[in-house]
Amino acid sequence: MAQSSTARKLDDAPPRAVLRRAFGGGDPPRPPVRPNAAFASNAWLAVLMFLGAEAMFFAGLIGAYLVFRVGSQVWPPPFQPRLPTAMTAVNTLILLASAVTMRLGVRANRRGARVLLIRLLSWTAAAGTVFLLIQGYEWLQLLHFGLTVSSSVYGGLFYTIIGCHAAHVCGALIWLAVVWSKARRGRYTKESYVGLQICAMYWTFVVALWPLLYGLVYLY
Amino acid sequence: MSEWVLSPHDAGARNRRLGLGLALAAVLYVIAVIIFIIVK
Repeated sequence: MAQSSTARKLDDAPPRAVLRRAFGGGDPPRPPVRPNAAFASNAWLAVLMFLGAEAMFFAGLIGAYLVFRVGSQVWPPPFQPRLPTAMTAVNTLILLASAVTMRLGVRANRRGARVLLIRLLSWTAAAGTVFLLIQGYEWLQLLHFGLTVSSSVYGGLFYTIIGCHAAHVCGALIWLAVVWSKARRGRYTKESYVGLQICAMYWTFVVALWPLLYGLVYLY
Repeated sequence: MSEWVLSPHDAGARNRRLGLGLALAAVLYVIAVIIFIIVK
């Protein structure tokens, strides 16, 4: 029976010992001890890189604020309204509480407690919404008292920094609403919950950023 | 009784040092937050 050309080539190939002498190679590579398992999911890594970019973005804003703040003898500038520190302190506690409920939600999901997860996500979203509503009320008051974006550098920096953070909280709330909807449909299991995990990462970052901004913009 | 009065130059230098310290603290805080997010 006639052999195929490939089979003929294999038969004609020199033996392994000859090849080893010719090319100086050693034994064939051994298989890895364990398969190359990914240490993290792509989504986790992507969100981490995104958070790095966000950190640099806010670092720029904070840097700009500090340059103006340190360079001025009187701060806030004369004839500008003072920021409501007490009300914002309460608001800060509300936002920090939302990070706690978020972490507890992720922990509940790891235990397979779906109902508790949904409840905790609802509490997180409620706290985030209350934070934004209080901040919106605060802004209306400040606008009423004459603090606008164009009134001074102080006003411009305040609305830019605090507004950027509020926009991030708003985006995180939309993301949280999607995660909440998926959790209700049972998309997250004990083993597979990357969507929930990355949303919690973003939420934690946005919440953790707030005390820093509060300290610098409201208290310093 | 000693009285401490800062000249405008000293006050400016102190302000700059404080600003630099705060900026450094802010950077360290954000790094700590990111490490916390990675670990948790």
